[in-house]
Amino acid sequence: MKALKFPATEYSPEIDFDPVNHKFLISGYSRPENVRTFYYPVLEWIDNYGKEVLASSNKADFEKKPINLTLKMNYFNSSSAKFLLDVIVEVHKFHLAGYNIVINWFYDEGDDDMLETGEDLSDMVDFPFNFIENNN
Amino acid sequence: MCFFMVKNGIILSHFGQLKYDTIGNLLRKLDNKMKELSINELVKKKIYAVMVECLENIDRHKHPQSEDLNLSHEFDTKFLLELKNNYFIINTGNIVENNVVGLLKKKIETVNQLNDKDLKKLYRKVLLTGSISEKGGAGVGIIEMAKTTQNKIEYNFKPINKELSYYQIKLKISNTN
Repeated sequence: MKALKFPATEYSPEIDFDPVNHKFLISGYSRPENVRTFYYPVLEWIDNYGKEVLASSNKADFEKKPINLTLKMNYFNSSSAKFLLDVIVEVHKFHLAGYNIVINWFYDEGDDDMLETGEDLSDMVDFPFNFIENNN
Repeated sequence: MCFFMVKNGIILSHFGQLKYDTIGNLLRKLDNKMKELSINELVKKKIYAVMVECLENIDRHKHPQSEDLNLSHEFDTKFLLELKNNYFIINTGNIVENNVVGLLKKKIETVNQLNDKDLKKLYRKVLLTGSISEKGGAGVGIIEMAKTTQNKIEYNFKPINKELSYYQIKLKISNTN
């Protein structure tokens, strides 16, 4: 399976999904002109990753090296919030299927809005995130 | 220049048709103005977030334009950001069809009546149960504005004719974090 990579722009985040190391990164600003066109391929990729990569792997292999979703957002608009939740829900399904996962949520020092949004999303999927303050 | 802008209060303004590219231009200008005025980064983030929701909402719905309808300039699409008494004030205006006025009023009145905790609950509910519309909206824009500003949304619908009204909203963001 190929990695999924989009570079960051001033209106869309960097996407770096690596199926070999099971590391998924979304980072930057998210207010794409067409939010559906931007995020559908991401959700489709996660679905295919589950079918192609996880289906042929051993769950025990993920004990020491979990599937790692990192969200390092500077800003996202309200429609992107819906899609970020969808991404989290899809990755969380791997946890429900018995794979070890980790979700990292980065925020700037003092940015309570970003921290609280992460806490909300964590509550919504009922899975604890690692909350990490950005080092500027 | 900086002194003039603080004294005058107007930080950003846009009148007339608004396109997706206009939003990027206004956000870049915001960035520069906030640096010039040495505004706290967290306050800037709030203004940025509210601005995007306001501007995308105007762009997304492709509202009729006053110039296409031969209406007076008072009904031009408008975006204004001012600093007054240590509050950043955002004023927007755009034409809407009268058949959406009731729904918009209901949405704003609902969020205006909620406290922070209940706003958060509503935000979660809409995010979990809503879907993204053809136009790209998730239905959480107005909730996001209220959540971020932590102030009531002031609004007005000025009737233009049987089909159209001029929809104005005013949002306040404290310049103290």
